[in-house]
Order: sequence, then C-alpha cells, then structure tokens
Amino acid sequence: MALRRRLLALLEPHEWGLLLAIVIVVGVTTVVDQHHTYLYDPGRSLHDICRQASMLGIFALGSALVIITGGIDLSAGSVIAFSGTICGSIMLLLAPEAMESGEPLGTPVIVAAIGGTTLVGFFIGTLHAWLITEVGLPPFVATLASLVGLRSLGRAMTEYLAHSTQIQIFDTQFRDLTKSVALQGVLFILLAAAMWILLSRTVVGRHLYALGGNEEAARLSGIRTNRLKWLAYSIAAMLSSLAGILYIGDQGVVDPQTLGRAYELNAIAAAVVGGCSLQGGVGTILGTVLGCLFLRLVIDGVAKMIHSGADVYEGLIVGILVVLAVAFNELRRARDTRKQFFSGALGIAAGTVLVLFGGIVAALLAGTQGGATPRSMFTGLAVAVVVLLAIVVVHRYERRPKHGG
Amino acid sequence: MAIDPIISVAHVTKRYPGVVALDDVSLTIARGELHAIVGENGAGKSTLMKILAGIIPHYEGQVSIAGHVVHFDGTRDAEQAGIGIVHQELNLVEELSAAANIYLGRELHRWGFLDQTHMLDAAGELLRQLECDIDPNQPVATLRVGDQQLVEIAKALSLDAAILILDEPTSALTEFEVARLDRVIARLRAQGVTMLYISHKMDEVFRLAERITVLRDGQLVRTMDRNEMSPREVTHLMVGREIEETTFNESRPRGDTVLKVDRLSLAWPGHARGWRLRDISFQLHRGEILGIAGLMGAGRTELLECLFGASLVPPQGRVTLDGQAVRFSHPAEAMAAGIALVCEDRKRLGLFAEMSVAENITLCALADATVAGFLRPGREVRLAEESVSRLGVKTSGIDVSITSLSGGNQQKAIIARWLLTGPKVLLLDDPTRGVDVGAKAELYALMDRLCRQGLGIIVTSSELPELLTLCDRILVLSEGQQTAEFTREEATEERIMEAATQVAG
Repeated sequence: MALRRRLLALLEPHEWGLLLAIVIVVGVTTVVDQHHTYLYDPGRSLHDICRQASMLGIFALGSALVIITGGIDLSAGSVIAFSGTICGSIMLLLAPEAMESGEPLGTPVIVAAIGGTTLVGFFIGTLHAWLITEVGLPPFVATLASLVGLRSLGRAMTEYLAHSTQIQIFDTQFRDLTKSVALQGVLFILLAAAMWILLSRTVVGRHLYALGGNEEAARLSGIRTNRLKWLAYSIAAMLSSLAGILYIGDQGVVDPQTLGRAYELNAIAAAVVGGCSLQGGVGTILGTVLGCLFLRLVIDGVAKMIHSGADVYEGLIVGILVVLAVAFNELRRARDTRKQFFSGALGIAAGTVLVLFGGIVAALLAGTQGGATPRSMFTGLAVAVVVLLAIVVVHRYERRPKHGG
Repeated sequence: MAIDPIISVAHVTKRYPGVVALDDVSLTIARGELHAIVGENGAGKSTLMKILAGIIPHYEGQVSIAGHVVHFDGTRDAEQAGIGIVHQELNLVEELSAAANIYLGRELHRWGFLDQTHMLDAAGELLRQLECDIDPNQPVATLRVGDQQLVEIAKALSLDAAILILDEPTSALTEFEVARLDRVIARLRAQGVTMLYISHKMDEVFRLAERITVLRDGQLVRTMDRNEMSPREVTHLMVGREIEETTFNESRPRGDTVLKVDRLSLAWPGHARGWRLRDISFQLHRGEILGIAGLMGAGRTELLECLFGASLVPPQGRVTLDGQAVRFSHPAEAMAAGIALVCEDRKRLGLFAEMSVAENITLCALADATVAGFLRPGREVRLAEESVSRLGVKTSGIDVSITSLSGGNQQKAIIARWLLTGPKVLLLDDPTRGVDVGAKAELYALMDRLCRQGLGIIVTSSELPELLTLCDRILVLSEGQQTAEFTREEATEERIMEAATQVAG
C-alpha cells in the first residue's frame, strides 16, 4: 500500500477536499440544471469556465503569494482598472489615429503597450513594498490607498487623454490575442506552474513561507524580509496588470470606472478557499488554482440552476463559500475540543439571524423566475423552518452530557 | 498520607491524538503545603496543572477541591474555586499595561466605568511586594522577559487564591529576583496558601518543597517527603537513567582570537540612561566559552544582537572577526561572515510553528540542498536527518510539526539550524531556558564538543551555576556597562553578583 500512500501524499488533505467538492458541484449542476448544459454542450461550458477561472486565477495567484508572506493586497481590482487604462493610454499616445479610426495598431505598438503596462505594474508593487517596509504602513492601509486611489487616477488619465470616460480598443490583432480562451488558459497554467516552482522548489520560496510564518524569526535567521516583500508585492501587481491587459482586450474597451470592481475580493476568496491562511505562512498554489475553479464552478452552477444572471448571486455565493471553507478548516484543526456553535446568548442570536437569512435567500432563489410570488414566499418560510429545526438539533447535540470531566 | 487534603486527583487521564499526556494519575495535596511537581519536558506536569486551573476542561478521571468533586469549564470556574496559576509561557496581552494585564477579566469598576486609579494603585502595590519597580501603566510589550514574568506572578497574586500553581516561575528571573520570590512564597506560606510548584531546578525544589511528586511520561512515579531522597536520586527518577554531573574543566585547548570587540556602544535614544551598552570591550578565542552575566536590563541580549547585526539602532565601536573589521547591518551579513545567534525567546523569535522539524532545521542552509537553483527534497531530508542524529533531537520523524517537540528538543533543532551554516562564532542567549535537566546536560556536552572543534561560543544565562559550569571566562554587565571579567578560577557566585549589581559611575 506504499503506492497508495505516495499517491495520497501528492495532494494535501485540503486539496483533496477541494477536488472532491469540485466533482460534487459539477455533478449536482449537471443533474439539477434543467437544460443539463454540462451534458449536452460541454464544449461551451468548458469554454466559459476556463475563461472565468483563468482570468480570475491569473491575479488570484498574486493575491495568494502576498497572503502567504503574511501580507494582504486589497488593490488587485484597481490595479486591473489602472493597468487597463495605462495600456489603452500607451496605445493612444503611440498611435492616436489608429485608435481613432480603428485601423490596426501594429505589433510594435501592442508590444510597447503590454511592456509598458507590466512595467507600471512593477512600479505599483514597488510603491506598495516601499510604503510597507520603509514607511511602515500596515499592508492593509497601503493597498487600501491603492484600491481607492488608482481607479480615480485611471479615470483622470482617461479624461485627460481621451476626453471621455472610456477608451475604445478596436485593434483586432490585440483583441483576438487577448480574447482567446486558449491563451488565457495556457497563460494561467504557465504562471501557476512558475509560481509553484518558485514556492516549493526554490530557496526564495522557502524563505517566503518563513517570512509569512514568523517575520521576526525570519529576519533573525538571516532572511532579507524587505526584499522578499518587494518581490511578493511586485509580482502581485504585475499579475493584476496582466489581467488588466487581458480584460480590456476581451471587452474591447477601457472603462476605469467599472473594470475590475471588487475583483480583489474574489481573488482573496479564491486564495482563502484554496487553503491560504491570512496569518501567513500557509497556502499552496494548487490549492489556489482549485479554489478559483471551485468558486467559478459554484457561481456557474447556481446560475444554471436558477436561470438568473450569474453576477446577481456571485457576491452571496463567494461570501458563503469563504465562510464555509475557513470554518471547515478551523474545525479540522480544532478536532478535539468540542466546539459549541449555538450556546449562550450569542449563539441564540446568531441562530435567529441564520434562520432569517436562510429564509430570505430561499425566497429569492425560488422567485428568480416569477418574482415575489406566494409560492416563493412559502418556499422561503419552509426553508426558514428547516434551518430553525436544524439549529435546534445541533444545539441539543452540542449540549449532550459529556463523559468524564 | 496527607491530612486534610485540599486537592484530590483521582485516576486522571488526558489523551491527545497520538499521545497520552497523563496516564491514570492520582495524588492528593495537603492544605497549606508547598508541593513540588518535577519531571522532564513532556512528563505531563503542565497538563496536570492546566487541568487543575481549568484550562483543559475535558479529561478522564476526577478532581476534587476541598472534598467536592469539580468540573471546571474554564479558568473563571477555577478562579472561583480559589485556584490561581502563574504560567510558564507568558499569557500577557502585549499592548496593554501591566496593571491592565493583572486585572484582565476582573477589572475594578465603578458603575461600569474602569476604575483606573484603584487598579494602578493595587497593581503598583502588588509589584512592590514582588520588589519590581516597573511602572504599572507601562505596556507589557516594552518590558523584558523577566519583568513580564513578575507581572504574571502579580496577576496570580491579585486573585488572593487559596491554591496557587506556579509553573516554572523562575525560568526568566535572575538570582536576585529568585531570592525575592522566595520571600513572597514564605509570606504566602505563612498565610496558609497551598502551593503547587513545578520546576526543573533541584535546588529550588529542595529548598522550598515539603513533598515532591515525580512524573515521567505522563505517569506518576512517586510522591515523597523532601528528606526521603537526594536531588540526584530524584533526577534519576525523573529521567529514568543516570545523569552524570557534567564537568568540562578538562583542558579545552584555547585557540587564537576569533572575535575582538572594541568599545562597543549602543545608543538608547529617548531614555534617561542614554546608552543600552557603553564601551564594551573583550576578546573571544576559538575553543572558548565566554559567559555574559548580569541582571535583567544589563544589556546581555542587546550585546548579542549587536554582534549579529540584529539591533535596530546601529552600534558604535569596532568589531573584528578573524582580523577583519566588520559592521553588520542585517543578520544575513553576520550569517555570511560566520556568526550565528540563537535567541532567547524561541517561541517568538526562533520557531516557525507552521513548518516541520526538517524545514526548521534546514532554513538557513538551503543553499546546501539546492542543485542549479532548485531545492532537492532528498538532499534536504539528508541534511535534516544528519542534524537530528548529530544533536540527538528526539522526534518521531523529521516531517512532524516542530511544535510537537519538547522545549529542549526544539532548542536543539534551532541550534542544529545554525550549526549547518558553519559558524565561527556561536552566540547563545539563555539557551537552556525552559529546558529540562536531561536535555540541559546534553546541550552542555554539545557546547563542549563544538568548542573542541574550534568554535568560539558566547553564552548568556541567568543561572550562575550554569555559567560557572560551562564557561572559561565570564564577563559581567551592569546597566549596559562592563563591570568585571573573571576567569573560571576567579569566578564565584558572590563575585559575579557583586559585579552585576554594581552601579557603574
């Protein structure tokens, strides 16, 4: 059975769990979806999922890296918007007539735009690292500043250069390149592989984990913690820049007002669901990749099952998944202590909130096709009662007499 | 047996996944006695105390206090039953003041508002009784470890407990503070407080305790009166084997000068004294162990940090390593030059709790395990296994979490980490703190071995007997200044204490 143990050891328990969860989600969606899209049109589904997961994944890798080093990067979405703006701006500056008329920009311009944008990503990451290591700002504050500042800067730039709130991208060469799901997928896989090699197979990677696990001990072990932070934040920002380039090509327009809004939260969610601990020092690339996949599959699954636009419920799903994933992890760690969820005043109050929450969400989901019908309200009520019963059962189970002490 | 038992422990067992921390332990503690619990790390002493203090609520067996069976759901229950505990691993909130920590969870209030004046006064009084002169309003994070431990003790004293558990209370105290604590204990004894005293130190145990219980591997080996056995025999019971008295004065050949420190000074901006260290000058030779003695705040740790490039304020003065003048601005530079530092507080500054034993050991020497820039797991495993066997680290495997090791073995693992960097000079800051007798002896032997191999070692310690055993020379610091230097022959505990308490001009 040594082979079995070796195979089992390939993935961490958390990763196996995610893999299983992914299989389950795909299965449930296939069955519950009225059109059975996964069965009858797998190509299209694969195409969509691949695009969504890859686009998210590219900058989620950066978020995971920063989280593993014990920091946090709240700016991903804004860096995406700002980078898109820079890319469009460079194109505008180098080939204003072509941008206006819709003629091809030419490869040199495209290369310059991509290169310049990536360089700007490096600058942003450098600024983050400087604020954090030299000025001494907490990562939360430094990247929060970017979150709010960069988008605004992007909008100002667009106004200044394009005299409008948007920059249109017509160039087919650029658009075909960035729209291609194959490119997005391959890029994601390559970047994930590179990050995996960095984190698991190099000295720098080990030092990054050490930094996240215990920064002071890492410094006292001769690790250049400031330089490592520079590396982590730069990579994160550059990956977000890359995502920005892909997004503007994919959408055909630079709109710094809306591009990438709240994307950073999805990236952080993917990392956390994938096993990264916000304390630092814990997390894997494979976990993050699976986390991205899982997140997008659930969102897609729910959209197919309730026939509404995927984005409406996206936030709700991500929020619930993050809570479940981290709670599950915590429970696994504290296996021995008998945790009581619904004890005391706080437990009862929280239980009430969960009942209301469950009822409301159920009513909404039931009413996606017909709106606020009596049927949907009844469904909501029924679910609320079920949740209440479940909580009472759990509460009773928790309070059963323990043996011994 | 004991008349009037105040604590009765009956067949208590505590299991964790993979290990039985306590195995069917039964004992009784008499009212008003000072009962010592001794045993190696991992013997179960802390587990038993945590059960009594309500920190571990689930276990098998029964505990009775003053004849009534009790089930503590938390520390509050234990406190209400009259049990207070002084932890070995400090349980303080660093951001809060000493007074706030002392009254944590039991804040004095008036109509719901915090009664700061009363708390500060009462805290100040408690600290004065412990003869600790810190400002009770000072944030605990700014205090040195020894002072923090005194705050912890003050916290337990503020409970006015009938039963006081002291878990290695003197591990970070200097001889001076230990004497003070003895006075406090004597006062408590006169008041009839029952005390459970966990300690590795035989001299303390035999000085203070009326009865001694020996635990080994989770089981109770024996409970006896103090005068039934000698310290040596008790140590034997703890360890289950003979521990030879270690002596190293057999000619350890002294090599040439490896480190020369010339008027090293470290400024202390904003402080009345102005300097953490002033004009420290000494030499370290290969094959020599140099000890640094001194009270808390004397600057021992700061001196080692300066030599390692770890101090946040750059020091002044000249440091020469093997004839070359050096100035380190980061530990990485010191490491590259051949200096290694094993810190005082291994939990906070030495261990990477999320990493395995192997990862902790190889961290500073990963370059030796890489081929063309990539880590080779096989090489890493070999490095770790070699270190583990070379230093005798007791572990169930190199892939287990470092936190599953006992204090002594964790210390060995950290020393192994630094030995892999091939240092010329090894700096050890209180390396045997929280380490049991058996492991301590092994560490002493290790240091002797390393010296004979040509290393120069600087070691600080608050245990004078330890310094006298280990060191060829002892430097004494007092309030940042060098007050004496003794050779092994010249050094005595009285002379060192005298120099350590000298208020330099």
